[in-house]
Amino acid sequence: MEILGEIWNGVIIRPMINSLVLLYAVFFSNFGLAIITFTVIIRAGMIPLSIKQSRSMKAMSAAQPKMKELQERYKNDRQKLSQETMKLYREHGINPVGCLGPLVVQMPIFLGLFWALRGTLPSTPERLADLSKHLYSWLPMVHEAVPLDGTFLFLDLAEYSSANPLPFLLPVLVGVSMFVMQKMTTMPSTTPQQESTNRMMLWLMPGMFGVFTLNFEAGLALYWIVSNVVGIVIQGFVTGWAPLVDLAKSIVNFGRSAMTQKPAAEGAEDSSEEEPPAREADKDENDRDDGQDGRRSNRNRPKGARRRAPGRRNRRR
Amino acid sequence: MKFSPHAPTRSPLLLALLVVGLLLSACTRIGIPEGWSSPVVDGDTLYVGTMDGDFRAIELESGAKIWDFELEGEEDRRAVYGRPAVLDGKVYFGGYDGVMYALTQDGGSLWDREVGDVSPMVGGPAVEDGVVMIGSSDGTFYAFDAGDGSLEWTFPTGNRVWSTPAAQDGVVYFGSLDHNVYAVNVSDGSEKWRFDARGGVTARPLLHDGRVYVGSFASAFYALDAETGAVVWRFDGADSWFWGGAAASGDLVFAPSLDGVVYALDRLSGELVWTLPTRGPVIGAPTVVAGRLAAGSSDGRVWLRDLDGGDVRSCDIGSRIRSSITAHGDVLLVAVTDHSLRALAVTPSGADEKWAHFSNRGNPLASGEEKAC
Repeated sequence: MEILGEIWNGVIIRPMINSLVLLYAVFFSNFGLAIITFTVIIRAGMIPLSIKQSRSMKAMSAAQPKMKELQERYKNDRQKLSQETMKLYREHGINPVGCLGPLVVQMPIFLGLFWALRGTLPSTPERLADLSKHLYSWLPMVHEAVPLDGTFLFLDLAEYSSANPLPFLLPVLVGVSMFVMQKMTTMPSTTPQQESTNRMMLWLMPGMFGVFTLNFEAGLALYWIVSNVVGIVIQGFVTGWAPLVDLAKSIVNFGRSAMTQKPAAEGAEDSSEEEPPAREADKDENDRDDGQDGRRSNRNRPKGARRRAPGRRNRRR
Repeated sequence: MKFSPHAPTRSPLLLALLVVGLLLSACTRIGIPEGWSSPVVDGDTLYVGTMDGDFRAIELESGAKIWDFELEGEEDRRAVYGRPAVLDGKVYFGGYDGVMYALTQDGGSLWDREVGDVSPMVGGPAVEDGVVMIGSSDGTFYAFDAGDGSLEWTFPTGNRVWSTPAAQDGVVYFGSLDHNVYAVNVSDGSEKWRFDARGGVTARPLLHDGRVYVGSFASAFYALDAETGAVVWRFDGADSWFWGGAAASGDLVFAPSLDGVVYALDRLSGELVWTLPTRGPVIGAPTVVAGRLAAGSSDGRVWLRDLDGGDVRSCDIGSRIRSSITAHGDVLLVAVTDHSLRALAVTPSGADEKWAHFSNRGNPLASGEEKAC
């Protein structure tokens, strides 16, 4: 285990810490700029991987109709389906584990950066003393740059996001940027199972990272936001901006429908005192929708208006 | 982070791995200050801050607690790093909680003051001409009246002041993480000179024979003229920072480095005479006792070497030593990160532990069966 620790420190942590401190020294003693530059460099280094992955996804997308055919044809023969699927992958030049590349590369970077940030911006004398053993003795510039100033704009990058001013800003930005990133990279699914997994991941991952960000250093959140934005740009150039445009359109449509519904609801309230409250009206309408198409009903239901369990209102009374 | 729709069975696994990794990482807090106060002796009593958020008076002969005093700040900021100062039976120390304390001999509070913006204080105080002086993490150096704690003057620097000051002949010398060593007049807080050490300075400057000996994070150790701040010589042979203060004896000055080596340098020329290598960073200042150099190392040992560069011996305590070692007669007083303060009598064959005082135990007293050496 000790050897693994040495390898981890020598290959990941030390180079990261020294790079960050060096960038800090180069970029006018601004740690925020150092993190942003560091992230862009990391993402630039991963461009070949990202392009390969995007192309693989594009090919996968093109192969979807054939895949569906295969699934239909061999729905009772899993072995044959597997063989034919692999054959299809080969024909289209798809690497079935290609999507893991950037993840595999990013995970050590993310975890390494987590430790590197804590090491680079030490909060106690003990940790500052520990920093010395990570700095290269042959690079005097990094020694002279210590201690680093962790302030960037109004943020203290060494502090938890939740301890900074506007504690929810960074978690929200992390969640939103990750959501967009996911949206850009998610493809149409071939089975209901995949559809359900995709939908779960689309919301779960950004939500989870957003919550984690609260208790991570703000510097790490900054890394993740910049990384996502750069990833979105790369993805856009390689596979096109259609998912982003669609997302923007749905946001605009949602905004428009909210705007048009609001005056209508207000008008309804004003027109008669005898009518039930708007929430009751919504509920009734939703119930009617459920009878026709449950999924559509969920999508149309306003965010705050959760379905009440039958009888719940009575119990509360 | 990308999850391919063509690999639905892998996604939950990856998600689980990610969550575990992140949770494991998040479980570790940013860092709680432990403190590494070193003791000061006054008569039959020694005073020291502990790793348990209090400050104690301990019998020098037996290691028995006389009294303790709990720091006032928030629990995760109750720590003491610097060496306390004693003047006329009063004890002064700065807390990581940002409060400057003055205690009487029986542990009563003489006065206490929240310093500046209540940023942590890491260095200890110095007392000169009735003025007690200390640096703060808010980047300012403060001077208080030793009697009533009223603020006399302040001296701003460009970064945290973690260096314990040293005062002599109406001048106080200290370092700052803004890379400078400062000489300031005690009477009015005016600057006498400053010296750019090219790296952060946390060490307590050593004043000896009209010179100021101090090292910096630029891995350089300097001898400066105390009157002008001019460089007399400079030593660049270390591989890491000089954090702790130096010690001197005869023609030698001993500079501890975080590269794990204590460098014995010629006091006049700065040339390397010999080294005392240890197996971990040496954070605290070494001391000279019974014709030997003694240094505590983060490798958990107290190292001893004859002043002529001869025999090297060590006492393995087993837990990191970060604080400066205090010598009293032939006895070394060492604060260790296992919450103990140990008294080691230096003998021809090395060291013999007289007692160990554990601050985290109900009734800390002589160790007996747990002797480290």
